[in-house]
Amino acid sequence: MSRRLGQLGTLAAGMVLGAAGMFVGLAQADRIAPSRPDVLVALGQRLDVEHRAVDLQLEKGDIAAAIESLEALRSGPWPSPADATGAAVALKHDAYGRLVRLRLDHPEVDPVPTDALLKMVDEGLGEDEVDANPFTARLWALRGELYETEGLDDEALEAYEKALEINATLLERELGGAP
Amino acid sequence: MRGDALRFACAMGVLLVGGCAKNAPRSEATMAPAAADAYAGDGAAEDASAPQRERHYASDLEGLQAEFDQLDADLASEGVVDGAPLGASTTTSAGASKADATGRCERICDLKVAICDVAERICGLAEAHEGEAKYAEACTRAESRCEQASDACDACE
Repeated sequence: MSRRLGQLGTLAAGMVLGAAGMFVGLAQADRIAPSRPDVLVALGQRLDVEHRAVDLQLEKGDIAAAIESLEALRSGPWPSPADATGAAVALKHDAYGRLVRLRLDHPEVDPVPTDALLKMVDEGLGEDEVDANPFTARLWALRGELYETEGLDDEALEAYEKALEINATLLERELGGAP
Repeated sequence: MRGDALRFACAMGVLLVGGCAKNAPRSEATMAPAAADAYAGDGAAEDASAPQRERHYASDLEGLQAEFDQLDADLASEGVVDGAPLGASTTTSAGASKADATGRCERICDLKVAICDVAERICGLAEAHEGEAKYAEACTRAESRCEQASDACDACE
């Protein structure tokens, strides 16, 4: 009797662990719907408008205005991944990546020291787990570039390898050979 | 690529809204303010005291769509052609599959550019750290990735 109870306990524990593992896996793969899908819609539309405004400012050659718009975007608010899934995190990385790229390419406009840009990249990357996407890869590559500028080659290599790893994962997915 | 990603996010969100509406039906009129509140998120209190930004956008989806259309018109007048309105699809299924294939190749070739750019930087570091195995090995791996991506891009129609 007690042996049977023990077996049932093991089975139940296995089921619970399996379910938990599946939940974590689905969550990491962004297969679980956001608790607030409307938040993701609002974010997508807002970012589309803002990025198009930046496109227009760049078309006009107004780099300062483009940087200002992206800085305003950076200040948020950004929804939490729990509300809007990892897609929101990827879109945030896109905005940060665009801002840092622009600042690196135009150091003469509203100059910001490299260590401040590194902080900006770290702030963008944050602690949120996100599925592989090109925007996060770009942000890691920018981090590498900034470390390299600072003469921190070991850190730069690490960041570049992270960017490479994400892009390689994306390529394998496109080629149908990866999860 | 950015436009595609944003459209994808919007489309995904719209689909999810539709899916969730089946479970908990709510009218758009009640959802839009909720979206605005949630969107404010942690920064809602901050925004109340923070200086107002120069530009303001409508907090509801319809208002945002109207502003989006207006910006589209502005872009069109500036000669920027990437301005198809959200949700406006005029492609046939055959056209869509061709567009899918083109989009896939574009993504693969974009990845090739990103991978090879990073590989170049890694190998630049390896040159500066001649004799250091860690850098040399990283460069070899990166070059191999770049080659693989280039082959995939070249093979793509």
